[in-house]
Parts: sequence; C-alpha cells; structure tokens
Amino acid sequence: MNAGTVAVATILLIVVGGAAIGVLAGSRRRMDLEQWTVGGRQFGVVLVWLLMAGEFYTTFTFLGACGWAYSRGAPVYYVLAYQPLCCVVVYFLAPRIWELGRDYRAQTLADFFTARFSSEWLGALVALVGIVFLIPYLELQLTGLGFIVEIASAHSVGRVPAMSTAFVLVAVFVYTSGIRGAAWVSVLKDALLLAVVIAVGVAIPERYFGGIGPMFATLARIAPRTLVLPGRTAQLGHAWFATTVLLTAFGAPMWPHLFAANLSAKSADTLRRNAIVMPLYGITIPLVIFVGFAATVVLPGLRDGDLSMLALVGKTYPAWVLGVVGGAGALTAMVPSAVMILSAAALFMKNVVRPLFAPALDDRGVARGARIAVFAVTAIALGFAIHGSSTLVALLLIGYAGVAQFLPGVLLGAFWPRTSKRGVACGLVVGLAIVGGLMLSGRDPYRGVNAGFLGLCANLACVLLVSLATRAPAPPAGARAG
Amino acid sequence: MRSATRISRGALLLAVVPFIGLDLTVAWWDRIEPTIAGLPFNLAWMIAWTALTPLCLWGAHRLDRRGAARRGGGGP
Repeated sequence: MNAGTVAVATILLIVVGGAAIGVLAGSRRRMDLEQWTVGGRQFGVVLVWLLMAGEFYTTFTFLGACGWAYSRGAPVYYVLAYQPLCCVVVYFLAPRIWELGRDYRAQTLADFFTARFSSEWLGALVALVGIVFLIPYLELQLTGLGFIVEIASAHSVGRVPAMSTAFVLVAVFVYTSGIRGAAWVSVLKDALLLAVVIAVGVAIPERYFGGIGPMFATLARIAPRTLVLPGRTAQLGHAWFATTVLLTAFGAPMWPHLFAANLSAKSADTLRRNAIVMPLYGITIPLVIFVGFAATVVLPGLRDGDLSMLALVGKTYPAWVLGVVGGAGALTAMVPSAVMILSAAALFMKNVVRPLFAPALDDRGVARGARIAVFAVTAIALGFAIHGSSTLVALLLIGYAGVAQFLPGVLLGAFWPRTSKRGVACGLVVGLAIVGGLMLSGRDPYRGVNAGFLGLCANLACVLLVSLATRAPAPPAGARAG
Repeated sequence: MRSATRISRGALLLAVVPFIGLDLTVAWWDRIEPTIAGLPFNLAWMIAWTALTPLCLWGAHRLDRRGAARRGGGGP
C-alpha cells in the first residue's frame, strides 16, 4: 500500500468507527423530543463533561489555535485565558439555567426565552438569530474537515467527497441518537485528540529544537516581538485581549448548542462539578500552540497559517500518523457539528415553525419534524461549504460577538425578576446592530476594544433601562410549578 | 430547592480571582522574562491558571455546599 492509501484507510476507520458509536449510543432508547434534545435530563458528570468538552474543542481549537500562533503569535493566548474563565461563568450560571430549564421544561435556548418572558415572539426571534449564527459556524467545521482529510490523505481524497461522507454519517447518528450520540462519539474523539496533541506538541519541538525550552529560546532570539502582545498584528494589544477574553468567556455559553448541553445534566450540582474540572482539559491547548510556533521557524511562509499543523506533521511523520491526525481532526469537526445541527433543527421546528405556523403540532410532531430537519440543515451547510459564500464569512466573524448578545436576557432573566421582554428585545436588537455595524465595516477592534464587548455593554444598559421603565412582568407560569 | 443554586458571597469573591489573574492584569504579566521551565513568563502564567482556576472553583463549591447545609438546617 502506498502512503496515501494507508492514511485514507486510517481516517476512514476512525470516522466510521466514531459514527458507529454514535448510532449505537441511542439505538436502545425510545427517542422522544426530551430524550433526543436533552438526553432525558439524565447525564451524570462524565457524560456532561464529554459533551461539553466535545463541543468546546472544535476544529478551531485544533487547526485555528495552531494557525493563530503561526500567523499572529501571542494574540493566540486569548484562547488559553478565556477557556478557564468561561468555566467560572458556567459554574455560576449553569445551575440556575438548569433549574429554570427543568421548571419550564425547556429543551432549547429559545424555549428558555419563551417561557421566562412569556413571549413566543421573543423565543422565535432568539431561535432565528441563533440559527443564522449556527449555520456559518457549521460551515466552518465542514470546511475544516474538508481541508484536514484532503491534506492528511495526501490529496487522494478530495474536499467534497470527504465533507459529504463525514456529514452524512453525522446526520445519521444525530437522527438516531440525538445528543446522546454526540456525547458518546466524544469518547473516541477525546482519546485520539489527547494522544495526538501530546504526541505532536511534545515531539515536534523536541525534534527540531531539542525541546520546548530551546524552542522558545530560539524564538526569543530571532522574533521576540511575536511572543508578547500584539504579536505579529498591529491592533491586538492589551485592551483587545482583556475585552475579547471577557466577551468570549461570557458569550460562549450562549451558543445554542452549549446552552442546551446544560439542560442534559441530571442535577444542578453535576454542572458545578463539571465546571470545576473542565479547565484542566485546556492543558492541551498550549501543546497545539507549540506546534504553531515551531512551524514559524521550520516552515516559514505558508500561504494559509491554519494548515501549519497538518503541514508540519506531514513533513515530520510517516503516513499512518498523518492518518490518525486526520481522523482525530475529522472527529473534532463532527462532534461539535452534530450538536450544532441538532440545536438548529430543534430551534427551527420547536421555536419557529410551531409557534408561528403550526400551533396545533404536538411534541411528537415536533420531534418528527426536527429529526427530518437534521438532513435539511446538513444539506444547507454542505451546500454553502462546497460553493463558498462571502456572506457566511462575514456572519462567522460576527458569530461569537453575536451570540454573546443573548447574555443579558439569560443572565438578568435568571437572576433579576424585573427583567422585561421589551427590555430584552431592545437590548438584543441594539447589541446586534452595534456588532454588525462595527464588524462588517471593518472596525473591529474599535479603538483597541473588541466590538462585541461594546455591543454587549450597550445591550446590557438597554435591558436594564427599559426593564426599569416598563412595568414588572408577571412571573411566568412554569416558575411556580417548580 | 432554591437553596441548591444559591450563591454565597465567599464563592463570588473566589470567582473574581481568576478574572484578575487571567484578564485584568494582562499588562503586568505579558512579558518573556523571567522564563519559567523554559517557557516565556506570560505562557507559564496562563498555564498555571489552568490549574489554579479549578482550585478556586473547588473552594467556591465547598463554601456553597456549607451555606446550603446551614440553610437547610442540616437536613437534606
């Protein structure tokens, strides 16, 4: 067998194995809407951890962090800083979300808004905004997967067949097993990823520099300015770092698929204990960053920094190692995508279609519709990924800053009884307008400050002021039941 | 059931600590020297906080549980 065949066989084995785990995970359960979207709210610490780590560690963390280290230098450190802080936010926010979610019987982010503010319109708005940001994020995972498989297979498998095969498999296990499938595929994904990252993160600096210490000594001699902010960039300085870390730490849990993961836990304390150990998972990120820094010296002048990980592994190791990296990378795209597809499908059927077009639909009908919508969402993302779209690139840029605008509604909604739906709706619109206006006109960071952070401040102020000015809303029906 | 998610003041104070360490003080720790175990200072600092943050949260959890037990009058 030639090198390409070995790599392709390895990747295929891993990807098909992962999908098989996913299908088996839910095969013996009756999949009603509750089981499919939030695993029947029965996940213990281990499954919640696998699910959340699976969602957090996307192709961005794998290829993107390496790429940022390669092409930007020190600004990549924001990933290291925001992840532990995000866990702190989750520690306090998640148990309250879980508790209200149980009382409201919420299965999606939009359900939370619908129930808390007694407004199906607000829920539908949140669902639509959520879907609009999920699709480009999904397309990014797909594109990443296409590159990974194409390069890892030494170009013997093209991007389009790779993306199509992997995503048909994802759609199948999401259809059969729902969120439980994603959590179980994460077992294989995390094991492989951990092995790969430790292997390349330690071995590559050792091979080319004689160790991690000597590598940084070399970098400090030849390119010291890349090791401190703003690195190779002009604008990503300390103010950018501080505001971006804050925005991402508070904003990331507002991604609809991450929000829904909270609801799958069996108790509020499960989420707390999970949040305590989650930061330890981040210990792998420095290793990815080491590879990016090593590549700046070993392989300077790459056209696309995001490919530096694969290029360097390919230059250093035999084909089967590249195959394992490719397979792990493919799973890294597939697991988060599975939950994103599920979230988008559930939001669409439950929070947009039912309240606006089919109020008579029962939960069984919603479940059936959502499971069919899985294939539609997958096809749409695949279509965009194959044909490319500049609108999507723009939406993706806004993604994190955009979903962060849900925060005031969730945070104040969870802890401040006076929060009103008008306030939340105003804040959301103002926040999104500021984010869109600044980012799409190329003004992020604005005077050194993250644009999403500015949007969030204005949003928060709006929610507070409008809520204080309007009459206090009656408590929602679900709250009394709990 | 409400007491299960009540947050104690001590826990909130502990939660602020990682934000100070990893975010607000960036201008102070963003430098190469002194290197620690061969790592630039800023990188070593952030790696240390991947371990210190769980410690802070663990402490917060202990405080929260103690508070919940006291409010519950010792009963479950």
